[in-house]
Order: sequence, then structure tokens, then C-alpha cells
Amino acid sequence: MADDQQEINSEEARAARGAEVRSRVGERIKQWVRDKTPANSQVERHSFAALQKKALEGQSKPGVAAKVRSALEAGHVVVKDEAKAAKSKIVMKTLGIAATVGAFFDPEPISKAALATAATGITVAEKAADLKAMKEARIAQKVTTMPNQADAHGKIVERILQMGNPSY
Amino acid sequence: MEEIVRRLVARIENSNLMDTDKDRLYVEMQHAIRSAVRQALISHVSKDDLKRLVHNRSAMTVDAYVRLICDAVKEEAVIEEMHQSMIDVLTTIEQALTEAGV
Repeated sequence: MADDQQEINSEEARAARGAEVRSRVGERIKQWVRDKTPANSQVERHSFAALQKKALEGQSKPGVAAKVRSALEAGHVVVKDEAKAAKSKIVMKTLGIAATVGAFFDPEPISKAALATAATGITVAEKAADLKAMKEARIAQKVTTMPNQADAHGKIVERILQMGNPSY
Repeated sequence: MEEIVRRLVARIENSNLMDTDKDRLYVEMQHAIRSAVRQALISHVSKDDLKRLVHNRSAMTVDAYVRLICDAVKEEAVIEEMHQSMIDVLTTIEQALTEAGV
């Protein structure tokens, strides 16, 4: 009985701690977004969102991401030089993320204040889908990772950086 | 950048946070990265081309949109800026975790 109560308290404490950590991280991200968003860029953000909405109507996100990625990579063939392998890897990873960004609709409204409120400006549906994908990555990690394996968190890292393959 | 993500994941995984909280933090990280890239991307899109496209609905095609993005990212300096921006936001997250004792 006492053990059960202790366990409940401990779970509550963990939940409270988790909420505190998430809140702190969320606030810092919001602040970062606020600081990095130029006050005079609102027109461009609105125009970009309007273009994105119209241009991507009826298109699948993975399809658009693949199209953007392929076009971006075609414009950067020179960096595939093996002598620049490390830099190339960074460039390709960045292009992949840029392609994903291109395939995702910007939320509306996208004023500076709204961006700050939503932290990263991602819709609730996207958050839920990303959370589901992250849970799946965690499960896959637990199933496939041997203790002491060098890349013990590889699948989670991969999922965070993958982005180009949204499952929704 | 990938190294910072690995470091952050290791810190979070080794903490006593619940799995659900860990996953939420990862999703926040993912969105922060996306936000960093989006900001850099939009700041390099040609304002003239964007204006022209937005004022002509029939020109707002997926191909025009892809071309606009490619033109914005054709300079390697822009990719470096995006990369740096991702590092910046991840470093901010790292600092927040330190402050939170994770």
C-alpha cells in the first residue's frame, strides 16, 4: 500500500517535472522564434503561405518533398564531390530538411505574434502526427537496439532529422 | 548539427523523464529545426518573384513554387545560413535543458 502510494507520488513528480522541462524548452524556442523573425517580413511570410497553399492544393506532402528535394539536389551537384564528403553530407541533410519545409503548409495566421504563440508555427494535426511517428521510432529503437550498441539512439535521431518522409 | 541532435537525444534519453515527455521534446526539436529552416528560406526568396506569383493565381503552380525555393537556395551561403540557424536553435534547446537540470 505504502509502496503503491510512493509509486503514484513518484509518477506524479515525474509528470510535473516533465511538464516543467517541456515548458522551459517551449518558452526558449518561442523566444528564439521571436528574436529571429524580422518585424518587416510579415508580408513575405503571408505571400509565401498564400503561394504554398494554392500551389500545393491537392498534392501529397511526400510527393512535394521529393520534388523539391530532387530539384534542390540537381542544383547542387558540385557539392557531391567525394573530397567534400563531410560538407556534402551537411548540405544534403539541410536540403532534405528544406524540402520538407517546402512540403509543409504554413499555419495561418502567421503574424509574428501568432508564430510566437505557436512556438514553431506547426499545426495541431502536424504535431499529433509527428508525435505518433516519434512513438513508433521509440518502439523500433527498443526492439532493435542491443545494450551498449554504439548508436543507441539512432532511430530517434534519424526520425528527428528525417522529416522528409511524413507518414500522413 | 546532427552531433548536437545526438547529444540532446542522449541527454533526454538518460534523464528520468517519462517516454511521453521525451517524445514531446523530440517533436518540439523537430519543429524548431523546421522553423529555423523556414525562416532562412523565406528571407532568401525573391520578393519580386513572390509578388508576381501571388498576384497571378494561374501562375501559382507547384512547379513555380519549387522553382522559387530552388532559386532561393541556389547559393551555398544560404544552405550554410540554414545549417547555422538549425545549430542556433538546437543550442538554445541545449541551454534550456541545462537550466532545467536535464
